[in-house]
Amino acid sequence: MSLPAIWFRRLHRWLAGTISAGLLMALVSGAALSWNATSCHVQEWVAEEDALTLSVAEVVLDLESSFITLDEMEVNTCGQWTVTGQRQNGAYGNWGLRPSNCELSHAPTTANWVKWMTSLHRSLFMGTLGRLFVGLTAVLFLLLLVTGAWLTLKVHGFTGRSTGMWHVDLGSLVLVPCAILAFTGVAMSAHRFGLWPDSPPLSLHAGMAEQRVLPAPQFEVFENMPLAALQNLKWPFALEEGEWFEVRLKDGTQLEVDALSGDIISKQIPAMSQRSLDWLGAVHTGEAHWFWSILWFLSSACTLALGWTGFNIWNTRRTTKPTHAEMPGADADLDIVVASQGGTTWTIAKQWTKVFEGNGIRVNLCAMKAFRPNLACRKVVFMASTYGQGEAPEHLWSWKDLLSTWEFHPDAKAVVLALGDKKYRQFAQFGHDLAQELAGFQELPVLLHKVHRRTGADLLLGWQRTLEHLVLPDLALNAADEWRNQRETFQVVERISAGQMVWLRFKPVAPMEKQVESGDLMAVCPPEGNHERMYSLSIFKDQSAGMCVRIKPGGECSTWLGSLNVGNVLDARILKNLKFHLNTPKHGCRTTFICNGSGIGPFLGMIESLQDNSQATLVWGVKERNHTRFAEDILSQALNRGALTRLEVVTSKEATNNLKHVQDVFCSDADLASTALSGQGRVMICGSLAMARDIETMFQESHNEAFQAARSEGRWQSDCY
Amino acid sequence: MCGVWLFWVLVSGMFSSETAVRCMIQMKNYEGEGAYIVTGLVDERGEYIRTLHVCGDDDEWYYELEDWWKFHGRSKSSVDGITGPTLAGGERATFQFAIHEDELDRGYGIRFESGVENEGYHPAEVVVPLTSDLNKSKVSGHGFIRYVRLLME
Repeated sequence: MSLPAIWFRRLHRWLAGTISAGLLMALVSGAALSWNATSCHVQEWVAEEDALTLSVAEVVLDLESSFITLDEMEVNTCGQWTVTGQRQNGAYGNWGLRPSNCELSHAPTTANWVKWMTSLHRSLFMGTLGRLFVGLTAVLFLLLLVTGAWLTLKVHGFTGRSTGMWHVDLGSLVLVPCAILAFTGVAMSAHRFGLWPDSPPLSLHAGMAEQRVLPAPQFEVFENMPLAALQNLKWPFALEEGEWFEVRLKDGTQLEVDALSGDIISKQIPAMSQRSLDWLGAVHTGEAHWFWSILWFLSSACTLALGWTGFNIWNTRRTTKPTHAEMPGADADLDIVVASQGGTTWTIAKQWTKVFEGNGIRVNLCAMKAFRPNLACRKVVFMASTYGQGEAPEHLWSWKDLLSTWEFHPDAKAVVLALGDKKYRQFAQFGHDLAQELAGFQELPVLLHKVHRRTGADLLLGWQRTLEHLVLPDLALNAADEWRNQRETFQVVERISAGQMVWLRFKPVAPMEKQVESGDLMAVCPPEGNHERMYSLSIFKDQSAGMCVRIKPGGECSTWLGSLNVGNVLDARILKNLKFHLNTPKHGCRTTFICNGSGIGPFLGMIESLQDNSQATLVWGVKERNHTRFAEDILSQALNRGALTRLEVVTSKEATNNLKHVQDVFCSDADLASTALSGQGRVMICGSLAMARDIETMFQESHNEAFQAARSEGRWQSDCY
Repeated sequence: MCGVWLFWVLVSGMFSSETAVRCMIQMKNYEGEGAYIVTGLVDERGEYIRTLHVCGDDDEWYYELEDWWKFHGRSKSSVDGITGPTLAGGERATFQFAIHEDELDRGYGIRFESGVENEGYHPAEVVVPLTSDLNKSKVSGHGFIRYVRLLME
């Protein structure tokens, strides 16, 4: 069983946060020191030219002519020689040496900033505690790299291609160098605290072959020793018996050479563990080769960039946390469930919600983690983002457990919009798995639509298929969609103003191919506008279409529609709204129309289409009685032929008998509510969302059982906005 | 009066000559980090008068040589030019410093104070009396130093 990626991601994040301060200082100082090491290598190339062919004996001979006494000569990491001794003029001290011509100069010194950076890098100026802290940081850095590598493999696989994420691509690039850097650092710390395997050097002691006195330049060992191999040479305190030259070579070998005879007294060859540690140390400091010092400089810079990109990822996810994390309690026509880590999917979900709610379809938008199916809602859209190689969003790693607790309405339908990227072999795998689980475990009719990299065309197709699968009105996702071309031209044939409302009646300029019914929608976009607005239509027997527009102050579309006069033309799309059609009544079904304000729009055509003696009821709320005058002819005809047997107009500004809102009518007449919700009744509501909610609340409180039955049997049709 | 005193100081300074002393420290074969060793001129009470040499060029650790730090830490006088690397087990260092002739045979001494991180600290590991007949014999240490040798040039 493989551990979920979230554990590693959290560990990775925790490690990054924990060591960030220490690592930052180590990287900055490390970059500076590697830069210094690189410049040293450049100087070393120049210096090596001089020392390439010389032997130690030749240099010692030259030095003895310039010094009274010699104490030490040593080469530093930059290939610069320093000689310590007393000059012929009596001055004692350190001098720089150019071996090729024995030219003496000022002794090379280590720049103060290098010392400062070294102390910072090694111990953060905190002594042993600092060294311990730095060592621990190196260990955790190694662990950070391991978790990062594991995550990359798990999420993006071993493709060798760019993932499109700077953090991942850069991390993959510097993984190996950083691992070497961290490991060598850990090794040095381990040695410092006695945790590195230590074995004694191989010591060889030679006996005196013959007692002779020779000057140092004539020692065989010095004659055969190239200067390039020498690290450090210390002269004896005095040229006397029992004293020796101390020689340290660059490979770690140490020799003691008799001060008088030049015989090798002892030789120490470092053990393998020490040699490997020396090599690791030389690699870590970049002294081993310019390749390492340049690599460390680049790796340090990249790792600093990695820290920044990692912080940005964390910060972006933190700031784009879903705003709909909690499951809203209100009833809805449609649930949109988002399973995503980032903000892009939420943006898409919000756009869809906006379009749905703009057209009177109530939406519950929530995160998958908070989602609990509402038995009254039968339409669910899942927007499921896949991460990497088929992973669910990290916070949904146990999504199957979550899904097993869900219970949907038996007639519920679902769409899974699976967002992913085709560069992965298992494209949109999480969405695919979710759809399978919903279809299998939950036995839902599921439509799976895969979307590649959230491309507009894929999303638009997904939108269309969603509307079709969930039997939703044919809505436009965006006014700029290609289907904008499918517009019809209408001419205004009647215009009646009623308070803030305007009643418009149109006739198509050319015969329409579409079969349009009352309740369908007209999508209108003003000439300079970008967004369409939906209006419910009445379709009359003379093939004219009616629409009631409430003019909103500042409303771009309603203001434009309100300015139209008889004879004006407009282009609009007609959208099917199957859920709000007045289907042929079964068994003498009695319809109760409930609306407020411009919600009367689709009902006038429906009432006109009712058969005689249909005994329908209309409850209409307006501000003033005279606002109903554009409908008076149609309604009086319907009353005369029995299509409408009861007409209740409620005026909020001229309230009579305490009836102010449409729900007041039902409160005052219990029989009206009973009839509306009876097995032979059906309710159609159109108007404001607030009114619809008030009506539903009232029915839930007074006739909940009948209300739920009406909803579940499809006898409750609502088109509110 | 002050003028006379100043004149005397200047004149005596001009005629006070310096003697070079060669010094060698040979370390024991101990395990651990390099040793920090301060060589200093001390008076008859063992109090530091002057720093002569410092083995260990990373001033981050100087405070661990507590006695010397009490002297040096206050003034933070420069030790540039008289510092060298730390000495690890078995290593040796040879260096030279100057002594005023009027500092000889006054009960002063050359004190060697040593310390190794987490290994130990020896405030007066070796103290060699500063006399005009300083010979080059070995003086053993009781801490990290095997012996020191001093030679007046």
